[in-house]
Amino acid sequence: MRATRRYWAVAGFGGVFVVLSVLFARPLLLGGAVSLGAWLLAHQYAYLRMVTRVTDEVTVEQSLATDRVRAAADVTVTLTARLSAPTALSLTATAAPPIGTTGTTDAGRTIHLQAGDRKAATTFTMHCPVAGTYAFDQPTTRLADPLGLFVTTVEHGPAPSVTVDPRGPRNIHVGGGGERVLRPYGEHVTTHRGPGLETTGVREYVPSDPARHIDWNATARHNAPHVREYDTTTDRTTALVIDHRSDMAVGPAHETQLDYARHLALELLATAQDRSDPIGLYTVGDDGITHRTAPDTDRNTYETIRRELHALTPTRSAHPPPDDPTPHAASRPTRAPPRGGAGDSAFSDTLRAYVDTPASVERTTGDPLTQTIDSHLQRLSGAVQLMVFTTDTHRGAVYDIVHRARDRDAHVVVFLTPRVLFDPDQPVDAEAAYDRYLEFEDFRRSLDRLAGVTAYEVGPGDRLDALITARQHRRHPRRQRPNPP
Amino acid sequence: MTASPDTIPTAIRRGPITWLGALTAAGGAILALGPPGALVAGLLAILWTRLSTVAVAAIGQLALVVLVPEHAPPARVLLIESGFIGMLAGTAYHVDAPRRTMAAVGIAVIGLTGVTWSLYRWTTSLPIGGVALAATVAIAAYGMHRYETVTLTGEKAA
Repeated sequence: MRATRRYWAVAGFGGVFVVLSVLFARPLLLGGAVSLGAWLLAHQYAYLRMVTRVTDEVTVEQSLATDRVRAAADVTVTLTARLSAPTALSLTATAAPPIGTTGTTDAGRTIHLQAGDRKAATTFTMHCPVAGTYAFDQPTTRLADPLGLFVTTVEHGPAPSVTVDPRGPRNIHVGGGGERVLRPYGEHVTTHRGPGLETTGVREYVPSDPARHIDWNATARHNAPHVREYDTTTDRTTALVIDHRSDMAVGPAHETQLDYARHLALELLATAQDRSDPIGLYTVGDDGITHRTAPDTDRNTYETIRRELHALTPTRSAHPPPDDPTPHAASRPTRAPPRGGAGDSAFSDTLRAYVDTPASVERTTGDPLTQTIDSHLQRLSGAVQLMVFTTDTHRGAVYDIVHRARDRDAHVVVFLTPRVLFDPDQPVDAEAAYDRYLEFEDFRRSLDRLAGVTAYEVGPGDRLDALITARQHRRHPRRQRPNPP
Repeated sequence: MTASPDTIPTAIRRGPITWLGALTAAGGAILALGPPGALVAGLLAILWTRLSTVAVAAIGQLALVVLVPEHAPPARVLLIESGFIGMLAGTAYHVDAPRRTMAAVGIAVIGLTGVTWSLYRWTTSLPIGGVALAATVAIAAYGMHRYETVTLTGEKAA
């Protein structure tokens, strides 16, 4: 309870009466002070009763339209105050959005219930610029008495929270035929026996066994020489090959095929780092290899790969084929020509090649992905696992890559981002989209059937589920929930 | 958009008890002072259109002390005082339980008068009476404030 200026003014009047009564020796003035003091106490008592009753009866709610949004999105908040019985108090409720949100003013998120009102509500929009969990404070309710003598502020009501997800892929599906796999990367099974930590068993000694492998305890138990065998552990070199050509740019902002591929590649990188597995990175743009990090296990390698993956954006071809109808090929931005303009001098003619081609690109002829495998995979030694992230657009090239990698005894894992799951026109014709998905699935299975090759689909799980569900509803319309009569 | 609760208009609705108190105070003034009392009552009535009831009652109290002779008949002074108290009690018309609040005004008046008057009569000292009055009001007000704070602790009252 807080006394207002009006209260202190009346109390001041009473004090003046007391002083004057003493100064002028007039007891009658004390009567005035008694009247004002009694009036203040009686109204404080009345206010106290009203506040305790109203705080029990009032319901203040701040509800969110959704409790999960993407970064930089808006959340609609509704603030409602209800009284089970009218009161003479004036009630003001103010929502308390979390620190870090923007887009509202105090007036925009405040409601007033004047004396006699039973309900008031307001709706406002809150902007969440950064990812994280934003917790509201309880709404602040201000109760003022009708004569303006007292004010009480109470924090009353629920304190919801909203989770703001970073912009980027979510609900990532990795699997095949609509089924998820749990671990596309994990322990490697080997058929070798040798030094290690995990015991595989004890067997009888044969003359070719080294004497140091004899297990003397087992020998004593069996009364014949026995050796103990262990599982051997091997390091498998992993090479990530990321296709970031313009074909991988399909999809909504921050949820393109490349974004999904990048997200998965980062996950695999983290797993490799946890296991201290050697891992390398080769990124392939429209004009060739844009980056390469040779497989290694040192911390700098992991950090370099992580940094490169984060910085990866779809490229645009500097030399599109003449019949390329895509607008991006024609509209590819180029660096500013040398001063004087192209073709003005021998100097500008000499520089043109450097202006038109990014300096960091290792240009290739033919399919850049295939060329990458040819030029770099053969340099890798030992057991190699090749992880290729690409789209299903260039199917012939993918087959080519797989065959070339198999020729080099590499295990190939292909992560394909089916274009049908990223195409913005996909919801328009679910039947056609499903047919495209089946076509993709045939392609994926044909890869997966090859020895030493594993092929996964990577994409937004919700879109894949929607695609399959829409297809099922069309094929079995009677299974749909019947409409109520 | 509604007005802030702090902006209470001075000419808020006046209930019948307030009017009765005002008429009683005006009648007492006329009885005690004659025509000048009617003039003072008229001036206060004009002020009442601009100022709150509490302010007018306080100004009337000052006028009473200034204009009414020190040895005026106590019955007339009491009549005027009861009129002022009636005006103040009538403001309870605006709260949720008006009768209870009016009764609270009456009880508070009797209690404070009893404390102040008895101390004044016992000590024959106006300052002690005044201090006792101020202390009683302050302690009672603080007690209610603490009671509210404790009652609303779960609601985080401020």
